[in-house]
Amino acid sequence: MIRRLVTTLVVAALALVTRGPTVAAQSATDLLTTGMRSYQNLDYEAAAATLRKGLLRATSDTFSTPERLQALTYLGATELFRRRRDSAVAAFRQIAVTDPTYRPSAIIFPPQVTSLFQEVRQGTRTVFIRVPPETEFRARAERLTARLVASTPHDIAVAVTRDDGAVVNSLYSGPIDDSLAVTWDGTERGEAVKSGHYLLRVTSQAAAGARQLVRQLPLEIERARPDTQPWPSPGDATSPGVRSGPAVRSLAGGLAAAVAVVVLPSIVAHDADGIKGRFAVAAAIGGAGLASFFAQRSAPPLDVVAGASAAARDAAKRRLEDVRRQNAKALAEIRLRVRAGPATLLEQGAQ
Amino acid sequence: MKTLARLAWALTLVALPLAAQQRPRGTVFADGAIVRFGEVGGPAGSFSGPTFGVDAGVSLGSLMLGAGYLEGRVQPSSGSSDSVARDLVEARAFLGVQPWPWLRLSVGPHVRAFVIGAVTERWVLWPVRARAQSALASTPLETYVELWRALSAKVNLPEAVDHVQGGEAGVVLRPRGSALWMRLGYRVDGAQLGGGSRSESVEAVSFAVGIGPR
Repeated sequence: MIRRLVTTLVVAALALVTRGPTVAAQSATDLLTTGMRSYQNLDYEAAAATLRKGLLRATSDTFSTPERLQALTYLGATELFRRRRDSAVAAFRQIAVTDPTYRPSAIIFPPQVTSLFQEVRQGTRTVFIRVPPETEFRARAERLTARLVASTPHDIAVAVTRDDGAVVNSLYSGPIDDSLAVTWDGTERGEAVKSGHYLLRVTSQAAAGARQLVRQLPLEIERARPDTQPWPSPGDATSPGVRSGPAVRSLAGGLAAAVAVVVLPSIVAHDADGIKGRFAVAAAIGGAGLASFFAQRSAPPLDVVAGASAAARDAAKRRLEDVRRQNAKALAEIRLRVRAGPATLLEQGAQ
Repeated sequence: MKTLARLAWALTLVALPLAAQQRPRGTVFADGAIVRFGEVGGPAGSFSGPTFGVDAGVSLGSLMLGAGYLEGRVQPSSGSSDSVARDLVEARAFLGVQPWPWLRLSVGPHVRAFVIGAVTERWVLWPVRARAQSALASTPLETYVELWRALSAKVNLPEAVDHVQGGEAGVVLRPRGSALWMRLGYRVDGAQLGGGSRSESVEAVSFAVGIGPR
């Protein structure tokens, strides 16, 4: 009995969890459709109530941005015809701060609606920021570009700041018409910024009596490790003549290893018989030492190989110098990896 | 064991700053050897036979990590009192540093087992090794000598282990411009047990072919 009850509850809970968003989506969309129909039937009271309900219920998952803008347009038009101009302005203002390119259809809405919208749009001074989601550039040498699109021509101030609002670098202060590109070289007082969380803030100068709008975009900045080249191996940095040690040292090294093979059994294992084959190993090592010794002794005089050796040495030095220079350059060039987050809008000051 | 842990830690501390910003380099080699096992003061006598093994390691700057395994079967030599062949299996791992190009120090466990039917004689050693190597001028050859002594040695025999030590020497041929190398060497180690009443030794002449830094 209890098991059946638990099963029923689990199934019901799962059904609610899986059906929840779908039901909400249908409701929000249905309410938008119903509100639009009420508007077309000139039932503005019902349209306003239904559209507001739909907008309240809608989330970013259930309403797409175009659907939300459409709902706000119908709500603004409805409120205008209900002689609630402030409410209409508020609805149109929400559109103006969401999408700079949106315009109500002149076929669907009468001129008094479109002209009020235009008026609100022009009075809403805000800017939209477009930055690639991820950018990598060399601080000082290259620049991060942000494209700004204005809702209406006005004055703006653009800066990179920390989270607490402290200015890292002021990028621009002046007028913007339709759009503007601002760039940043990744520096703070001439030095590349450290890794961390920053904001790209665009402050729009408000019209008289209006609230000041600040659009800000989070920038997650990470200093990328410089890509340096490995040092040339010691064998590359010296000529064959230099690499070969003194003949006597080679002979001593070879003979020491050969003697070690012969005497090791008596040193480390006093009672080991000693494999006879070890003498062959000792002979090979001793022979190698002797060969090296005589190869050194019979090597051409230094002045004969000096030219070749000097050329090889010079080439090696040049390679080393090239790598050193390139590595110094790579270390001096700080690469910044910038990840941009979604922009947010702040309102400052009172009307 | 505490001493070993401190030693390994000290090696790591020395090597880590040197290994920083270096790219790891791997090495692998196969090794074939003729091994002779001898016992004095015990019943076994002497045995000999071939073994084959593989070793692999990775080096990061002057820090090295490696492991090896070999196995083979040794047969009683003529005149040996014991007539039963035994399997020889060895495995080892090490952590090493190369403070100078000619010197390498390493420490790590080394396990050796002689399998005689259902009975296994198992040695667990913790040797600390010092290897000196030198290039032979005007040739693609290098020679090396290595000595080691076990800081800790355990065996499942009735006698206590007095000490275990060993050594190796050989020559390496590394053709210029080639990553491949060949090594001819001789190694020997001896263990003294029961206050000197018995001793065991293992010797081998080995030939190895490898690739990568040695």
